[in-house]
Amino acid sequence: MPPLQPLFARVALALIAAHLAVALPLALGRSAKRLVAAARQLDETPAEARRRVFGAAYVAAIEEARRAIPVDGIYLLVDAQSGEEGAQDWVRFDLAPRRALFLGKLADLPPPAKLKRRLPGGARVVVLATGNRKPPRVLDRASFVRSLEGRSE
Amino acid sequence: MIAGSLPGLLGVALFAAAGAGLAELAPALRRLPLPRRLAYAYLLGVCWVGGALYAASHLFALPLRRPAILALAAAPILGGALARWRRRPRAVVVPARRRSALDTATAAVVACVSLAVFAQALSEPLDDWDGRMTWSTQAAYLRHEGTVLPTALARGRWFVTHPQYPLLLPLGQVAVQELAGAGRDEQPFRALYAAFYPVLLLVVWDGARRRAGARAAALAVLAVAPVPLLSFVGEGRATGAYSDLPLACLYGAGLLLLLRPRLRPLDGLAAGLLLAGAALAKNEGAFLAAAALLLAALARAGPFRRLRTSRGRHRLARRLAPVAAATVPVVAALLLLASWRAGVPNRHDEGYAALLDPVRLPVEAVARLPVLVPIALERTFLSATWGTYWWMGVVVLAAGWRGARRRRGAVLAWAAAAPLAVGWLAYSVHWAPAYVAGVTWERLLLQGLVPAAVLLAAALRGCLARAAT
Repeated sequence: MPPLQPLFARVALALIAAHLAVALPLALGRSAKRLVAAARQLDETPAEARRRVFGAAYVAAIEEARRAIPVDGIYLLVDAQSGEEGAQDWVRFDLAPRRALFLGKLADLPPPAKLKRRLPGGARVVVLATGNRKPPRVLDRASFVRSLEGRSE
Repeated sequence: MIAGSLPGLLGVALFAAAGAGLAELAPALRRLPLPRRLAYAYLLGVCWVGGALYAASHLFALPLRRPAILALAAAPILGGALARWRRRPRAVVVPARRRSALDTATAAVVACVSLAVFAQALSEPLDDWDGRMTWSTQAAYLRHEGTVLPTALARGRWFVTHPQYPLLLPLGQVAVQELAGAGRDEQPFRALYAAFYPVLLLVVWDGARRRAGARAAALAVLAVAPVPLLSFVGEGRATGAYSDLPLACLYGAGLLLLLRPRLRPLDGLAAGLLLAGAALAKNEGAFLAAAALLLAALARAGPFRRLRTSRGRHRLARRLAPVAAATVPVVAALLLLASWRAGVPNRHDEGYAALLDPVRLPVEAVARLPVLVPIALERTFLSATWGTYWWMGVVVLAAGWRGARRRRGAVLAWAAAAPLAVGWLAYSVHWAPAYVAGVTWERLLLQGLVPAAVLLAAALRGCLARAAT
């Protein structure tokens, strides 16, 4: 019977051989898939790539918000998600360097009459983040407050 | 999207060229074979260009625009060229060493996966979490106003998550985007992050060869290269825009450089620049830079009994001189960071400093272990992100620990554990420790991956030797 330490060392070497036998083909296969996919997207424009990944509706809504808010401008951002999908952060990323004033969760906003008085000045556009890869809603201030009134009725 | 993003490779080349100039000034680095020298050069270049832009914008209001970026990158390139010309290397013909089949196979795997990482990064829009929430959004604000104190960060009313996070990588993004003249949705900066994949493997290869020899080093690199979290899967991968992989490279490379024998003070400065980059890359980078300096000092000092003789003290001072030199850029980076943060009101951030209660901390650190340990174990052995790496790693380390211990194994083990210790402290004060551990533990493992992989190589060497007996 071989001594314990060389045996343990051989087990460890067998384990690394098994690791390499499993992991290397997977990594090379994954790499080949990525290379083939990238080759297919060689002539894709950034807008086409964004539509493919995030969906046409989401990209169109972001474009609408970009047109409505000047690149130096500011906007009001509302978290209108049902869960925690980080949508307000993805919208903020897509609209940067436009600066966001965060109003918080839609459900936590005060009643429309009170909110109207409290809305910070300067920002004409309100962007409601609705979920991951879901198109944000882009409204002007008045329409936003009206939409809340409609909801509270 | 690839065609529009290709200029990102120019940005990578500029960082590598600037760093190659700096590497010319560091004797320990300029002797390295080209691929490994390029890996260190890339890291040095990112630290130099990003750090210099940080300081020049904050202290001298230098605009973050193409002329400034090119001028700052040109300085070390010219310095390195001048140093090389002054040395006038004699035409010594070094016989080319024959590369083993294992080395060739390892290089082929690294090249193949790296190519795919670049292809994926340059063809897919960014869709990770922190990359969009924090790092790339910050970069957009910086680039738009051309300063490290844009209105969005400097005024507390604007919605910005983690506004006080250090800006080394966003500045790297700005440099690449500016050089490429990229539009809003073009993302050549993704090449900046993709390059950290081969760089990490080359740094591991270099450190492992030194400690464990060619065969064990190649096997260790082959074992790390297919880890999905490094390349294509999970939060922190090279195809995303998190700062954890860059931090892993900077921390690991700085530490390994400081552990080399016969270092000159200029080598220490180069290591210090890498660690300064770590401090400017992420909040926890400051702790990791300090840990690297401390571990390197302890490793280089040797037994304290040498202090009894004046010769011993003199020798000790000489051995610690590179660590002292490395401390200078780290301290400078921390001062810069503190000064910049003074102008950025913190909000939408955990605010760990305020949570820290020295009395409660040790109690919570122990009391929360029953919640934290199962999460840590589950995330460590998660096959989707780590494959079978840690299953294999734990057994190899146990089997080869005696051999690894003789090759600075303890220092490497402490260095690999340092990010986990920082995380444990954070989990001990956070109001939702289970959640935060679940989303960060793997990235902490990633931050310590370079010393862990070199340790694996040292243990493998022990296993190979023992199995042959």
